Amino acid sequence: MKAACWFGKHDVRVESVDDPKILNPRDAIVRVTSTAICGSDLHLYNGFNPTMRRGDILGHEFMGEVVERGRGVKNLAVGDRVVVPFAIACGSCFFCKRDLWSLCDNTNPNAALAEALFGHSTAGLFGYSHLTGGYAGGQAEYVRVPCADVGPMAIPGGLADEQVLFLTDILPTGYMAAENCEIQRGDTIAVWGCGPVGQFAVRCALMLGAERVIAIDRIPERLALAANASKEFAGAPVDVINYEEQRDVVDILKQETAGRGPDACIDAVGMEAHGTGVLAAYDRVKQGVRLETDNPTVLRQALQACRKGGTVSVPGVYAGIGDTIPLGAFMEKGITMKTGQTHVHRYLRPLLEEIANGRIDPTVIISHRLPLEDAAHAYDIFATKEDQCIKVVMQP
Amino acid sequence: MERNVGTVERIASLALGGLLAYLGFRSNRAARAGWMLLGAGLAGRGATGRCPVYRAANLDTSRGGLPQLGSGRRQLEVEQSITVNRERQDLYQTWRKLDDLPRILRHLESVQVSDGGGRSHWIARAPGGSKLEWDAEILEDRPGECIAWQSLPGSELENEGRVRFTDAPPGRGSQVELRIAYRAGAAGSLGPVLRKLSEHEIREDLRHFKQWMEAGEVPTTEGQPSGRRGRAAKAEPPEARPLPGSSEMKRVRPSAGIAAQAVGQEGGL
Repeated sequence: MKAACWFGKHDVRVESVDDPKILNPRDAIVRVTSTAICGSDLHLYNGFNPTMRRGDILGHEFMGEVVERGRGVKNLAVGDRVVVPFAIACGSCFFCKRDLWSLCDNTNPNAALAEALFGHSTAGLFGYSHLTGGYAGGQAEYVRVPCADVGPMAIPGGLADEQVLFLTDILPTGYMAAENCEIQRGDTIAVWGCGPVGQFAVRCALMLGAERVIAIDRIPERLALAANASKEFAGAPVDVINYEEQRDVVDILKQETAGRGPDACIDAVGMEAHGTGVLAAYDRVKQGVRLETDNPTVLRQALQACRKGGTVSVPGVYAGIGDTIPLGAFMEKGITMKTGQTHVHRYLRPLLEEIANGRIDPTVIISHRLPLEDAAHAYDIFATKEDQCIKVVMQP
Repeated sequence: MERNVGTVERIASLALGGLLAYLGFRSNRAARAGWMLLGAGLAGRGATGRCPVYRAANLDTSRGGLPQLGSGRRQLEVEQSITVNRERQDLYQTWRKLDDLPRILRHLESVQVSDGGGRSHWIARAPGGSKLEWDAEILEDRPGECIAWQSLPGSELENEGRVRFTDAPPGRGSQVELRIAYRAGAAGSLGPVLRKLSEHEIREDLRHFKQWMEAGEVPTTEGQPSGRRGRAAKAEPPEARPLPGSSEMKRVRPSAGIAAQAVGQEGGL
């Protein structure tokens, strides 16, 4: 089969590889009909994860048709059309039982590696480095889905791939980011990063009753798309800040809220923050010489801007070490920070319902539709944000 | 390298090393480098707790007191524990089926049970493709609580161990505590065995036991496709070795479906 494989920094190739096969009783094989490149795939593309190996198959946002199932999979039938959560969860450990699916104890074959780095291992992820299990991903014609009796959700006819594909990651991720803000009446929510997750975070914050959303980015078309969410959600105001034109984000956010600061802040950027100014340059140097893996520019701004007693919600991926984080602001202002890889399983059904009843239209963020053969080009334009690229969907 | 220097000695090393480095810095040019190097070395072993000299001499003070024989010693004790989200009776039952254990504990090749379950013959894999064999008897067998055993005289690998099953705090299942002591028997030095049965290995064994009991299977990626096949694979042999924990996992796949089937009722394990 054809699969998009990682061969190094900025080096993705579509290769001919073996078809996947059932390896464990709870596995299923899915013929991929649609797959997308996630913003977090760019961390791999940009060479920020040292546990990638040449030839690893990428991709954790994918859906398709069940073509084979292990003898432990009773709930799916061959021919079922399914979306597959990006985290693999066993469904029976302490964490799965508590709806904390991405923290599953039992699905990372390289758990010892993760334990050494994080103290504990979290769930295995598709196509996301050997630290999270080294599972072959879904930017391919076929993919092996472990624990298929727990993760995949069958999709009713009548909904197109594009409408439901983002249930695998970014829509639930944006939703969980907003939900973690515990939005109350009158709340202003600031969202850093208007990539795909940020776009959904903006929309889900409105859905959950935010009084106002302020979106922060530097790419004009992304800011415009975020502002457009206002129309999609009956006129609730979405304001935007272009941090390259208006330098001091923290200052603007305080001015915009008459000194209060946003009630909650969402960091939908993560470890490769761009930023401007002296500290941003400092982080770029430290990342360059590998003294720092994670650039915490957004965390710094969020902690500084956030209202006293407010919440900082972090869907953006961090994977290692960052520094110069204002712990004083975090502690003294009594801020709550909520984060984690998304517990996709928890949100599949409720969000499918929101899509089916037309309350949210995930297709608005798609900017490019390409064949899988063009994966290298797709990664390139997504990484460089060329050609107004916001989200790429690929068909094998 | 394992930590092999005790706390008191580490503090002393740090202090003395710092002093030597300082004095070396102030001494004449000829002696300066030597003293500073020695000082830095001492400070380093103090800071890290890892001493290459001790390692070479097989000494260890990390457990306090005078230097003891380190990993070349003729006895090794390993203690590890893990929490499993199952009733302890279930865990006991799975463990008590000794002849099924090799499907979970990867250093074991086979276990044959005789004498109504009281005695057993064990074959373990040793490094270099060799094997170690021993006979064992069960000393204590309390259903749902613990199993203790020891090897019989004349074994190549003398060992005694105990696995205890206790209730974890409410809602957290059970705790499995495994303690094994190995002694070199007729086989002589314990060195090669130690490398195989390190704490890491025992920890992985317990993890696989947990995965088996909770998920009904041990996760694996062995046999999945990648771009390393064919042309690409030839280009990068050194990178192609499996990461820790990813090897030999297929072997421990259950034969009888998911947890409920594989464990307990059907006797799958």
